[in-house]
Amino acid sequence: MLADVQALLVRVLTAEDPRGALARELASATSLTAEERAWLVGVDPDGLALSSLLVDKLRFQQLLRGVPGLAEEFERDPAAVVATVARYVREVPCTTFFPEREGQRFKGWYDARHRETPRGSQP
Amino acid sequence: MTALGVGLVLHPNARYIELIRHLAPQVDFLEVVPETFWRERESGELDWSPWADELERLRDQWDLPLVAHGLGFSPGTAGGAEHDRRWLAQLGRDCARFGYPWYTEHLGWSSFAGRELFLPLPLPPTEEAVRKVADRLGMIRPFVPVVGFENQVGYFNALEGEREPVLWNRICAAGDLVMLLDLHNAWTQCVNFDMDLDRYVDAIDLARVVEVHLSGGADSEPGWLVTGRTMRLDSHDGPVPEPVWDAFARLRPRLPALRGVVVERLDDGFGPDDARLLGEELERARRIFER
Repeated sequence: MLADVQALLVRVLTAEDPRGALARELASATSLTAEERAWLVGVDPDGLALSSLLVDKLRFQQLLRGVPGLAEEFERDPAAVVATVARYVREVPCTTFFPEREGQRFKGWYDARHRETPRGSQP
Repeated sequence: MTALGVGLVLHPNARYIELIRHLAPQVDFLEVVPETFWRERESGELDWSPWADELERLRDQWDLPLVAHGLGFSPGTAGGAEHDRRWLAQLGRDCARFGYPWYTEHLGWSSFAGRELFLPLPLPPTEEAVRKVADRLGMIRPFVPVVGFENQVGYFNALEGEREPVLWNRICAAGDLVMLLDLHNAWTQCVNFDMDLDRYVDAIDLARVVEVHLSGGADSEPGWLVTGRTMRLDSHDGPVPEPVWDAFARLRPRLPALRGVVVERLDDGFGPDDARLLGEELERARRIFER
């Protein structure tokens, strides 16, 4: 079923190692049709890795658009912003197309973490 | 449906709009991604962002019709009834306000089960996928008389040769849909998977093509992939490559339903030099379009 293919690819594309994740998924998937399995077996591994990178890049751009001041902060201290966003992306799946809404969710996450961490430290 | 001519993309970005303002007399229409002029409320319902008023003002000031090219509906997604309800409600309002003569979406899927990935991803060549796209794009037809999709770049798509254009033809036929032929996407797919562009585009049902996109892109960095391989990206951030111009010139006489050609550029990083180049490319596109 198409839904099974898409659920599988969401897990693969958001995994640390998309190529390895696809191999593991194919080894355990039981609901794919023969046509779907053949298509997934023929996937270009470099293209899969590139797609995974682009998914991350597009979400990062979405955050730069949606979080006021984040783009300027990224200019000043790119490593710190990348580390913070990487943590956010690991913890909070993206469920909105709209940058402003994603920015609000990021702010909620950031503020919550900031409250939990000792004074002066970064989330 | 009458032909419009040559268009450019209007992004909700004040700097970009200032840079392209002088190009308005050069074009016959503007293309917009409708949802970039929307916002999502906390309830999940969608409405217009303040940019929609600016869009309406520019449309009236420049006296140019708007054409819609959606990005976020994700026509190939399986499931998602609640997403569809909210999306279609706002799209209906949007179409009534702006009166698009046609509407195209990016082929493929970019969201699933509430998860947004933003990147249009390839579909397996199954009958279920064909029906899914045809049926979901059919949901837009009550708001716009002419609906279709744009051929995509599928970076991991494994369909060899002409199997991909044949899949598009099946989808068009299943839903009585039109096609937006993005020639840079087609060229990119051919470069990345070592296919012949002429054979690839010749396999398309060209009578369905109502719009052409011309754009540029770049190669990925060698360090991005562990294999060191680079792939052509559909990044819309560079000049239109010569093979894409050549393909448009060759195909133009064989596109009887063509209504418009858009030279696409993204707003990120767009500067004065890009605006100058875009002006030249719009003129070149017109010379070919009007042959």
